[in-house]
Amino acid sequence: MRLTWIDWSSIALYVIAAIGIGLIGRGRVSKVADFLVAGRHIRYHLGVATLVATELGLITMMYFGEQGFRFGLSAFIIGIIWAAAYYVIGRTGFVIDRIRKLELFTITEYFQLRYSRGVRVLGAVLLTISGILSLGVFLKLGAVFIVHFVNIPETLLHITMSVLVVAVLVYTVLGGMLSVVLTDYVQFVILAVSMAATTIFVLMQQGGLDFFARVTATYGAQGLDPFVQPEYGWSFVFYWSIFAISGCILWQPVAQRVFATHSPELNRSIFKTTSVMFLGRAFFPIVWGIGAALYFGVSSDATGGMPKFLAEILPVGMLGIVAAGMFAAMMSTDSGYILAWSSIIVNDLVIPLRNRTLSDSQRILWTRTAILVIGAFMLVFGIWYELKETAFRYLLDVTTVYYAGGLAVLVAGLYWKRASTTGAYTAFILGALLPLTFVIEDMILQARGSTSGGYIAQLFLPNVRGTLSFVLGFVGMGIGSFVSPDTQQSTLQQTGENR
Amino acid sequence: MMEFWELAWMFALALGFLGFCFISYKVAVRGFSEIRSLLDQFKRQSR
Repeated sequence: MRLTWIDWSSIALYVIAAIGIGLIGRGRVSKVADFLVAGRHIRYHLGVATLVATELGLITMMYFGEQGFRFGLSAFIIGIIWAAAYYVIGRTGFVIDRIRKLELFTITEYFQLRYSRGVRVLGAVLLTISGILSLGVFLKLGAVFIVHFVNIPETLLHITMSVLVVAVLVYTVLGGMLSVVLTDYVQFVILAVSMAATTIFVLMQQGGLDFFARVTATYGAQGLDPFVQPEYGWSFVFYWSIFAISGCILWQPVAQRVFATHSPELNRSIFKTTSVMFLGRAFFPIVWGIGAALYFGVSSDATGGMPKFLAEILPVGMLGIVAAGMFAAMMSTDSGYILAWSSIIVNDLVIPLRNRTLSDSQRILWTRTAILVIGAFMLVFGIWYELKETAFRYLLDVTTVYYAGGLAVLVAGLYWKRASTTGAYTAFILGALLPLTFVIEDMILQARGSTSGGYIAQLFLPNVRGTLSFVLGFVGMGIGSFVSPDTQQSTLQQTGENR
Repeated sequence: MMEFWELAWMFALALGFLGFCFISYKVAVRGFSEIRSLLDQFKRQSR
């Protein structure tokens, strides 16, 4: 074990400080808008900090590290497209301008205002499936990082992870979005310092600019050119571009921050700035992953290689700062995501299905209960589920379940007058068809103890399956709306707010 | 073609690194005062 008391002290100090700061939010929130969107008081710098901290988790570093390890610098294409998507949305205000003006708490709430209660519930069910299944592997991959980086026994690891999840749950339950934003800021600072410094250490260890020549020599053209790398290519670029746009406008943790800003105009600047941060978010862990492959050999463990490599090369003192940064990444993303999915469950499933409104205190109580249930699920699913492909592919598949139909439903709802309720149902159903069947088949195979791919996996290549799902979503919206147009105007159309 | 990609990724990494550091610094410094005003706002609200 290379961590010394200096490193352990940095980690302990950080964890205690983060929890302490998170607890400042308790007792300050009384209204549901305070709990879910921090009273819509978030300004520019804090908006960037919370968006980056939430979308930059330990899981993000693990899957980018794995991509870099396996596919070399070609993996940079993921970061370029993601950053471009954020920039385009920020520059044009596409969707975010209109949606923020409506003063909502969740994206799915919009589906009821524009279409019907049923569309909102269906959207929420698909979003919950996507979100919870994504969350399920967060702890698992976080555990892989910590086992290799800190080199602690697995039993102790499970106890540590459980304690951290409980800590995250405590401040999220008590202070809601206010606590999440406060801790996000602290985590942002620690993350930024540790990520930038780690990248410098990795590049120095690899001989500075020689790093690029070593990548070329080890991986060949496939490690540089994403269009000749079989994992990516044009089909991936197309699929990932649509996926990235969906991620900016449909993903509840992102949407929750769009709704939390002080004014609609602020979101454009936040998105443009965040786009630059997201270059680093992808590039840095990819470089660490490549560094690990060059250090241990490309045929060694692609998932555990990166944390093991960092533990080998980072000096004493820096190890503690990086470990604290990784804990920061885990805690900020987990708390943000748990709050996001619990708000969806209560706002878009419990309330519409109960068919009567809840008081603010009842809503907060329900949300707190949902937070605890999700936390328990994360622990159980994380222990049971085994990833078959890369973590990145798994997350793409489970998220496409909601995005494929959701993109058509949201965009058509905002920009196409003829978009109808039938079109929305058809878009969601057709869009989710392939990815959901794939995910269900995968779970069944897992329960049977099989490690082979299922029927859907054999039938369609992953990028084709993903792109086709988005196409089906839009086709479903078009056909449904033409065949069965709405006979009555929606709430938004009546009030003229859908502009 | 390999040289092109090598140069392109070198440039992209440098740009990403500098942008990341610059924005992180700005957000870290100015975000702190926003936190204070956010907490003040909640404090006033809860009175």
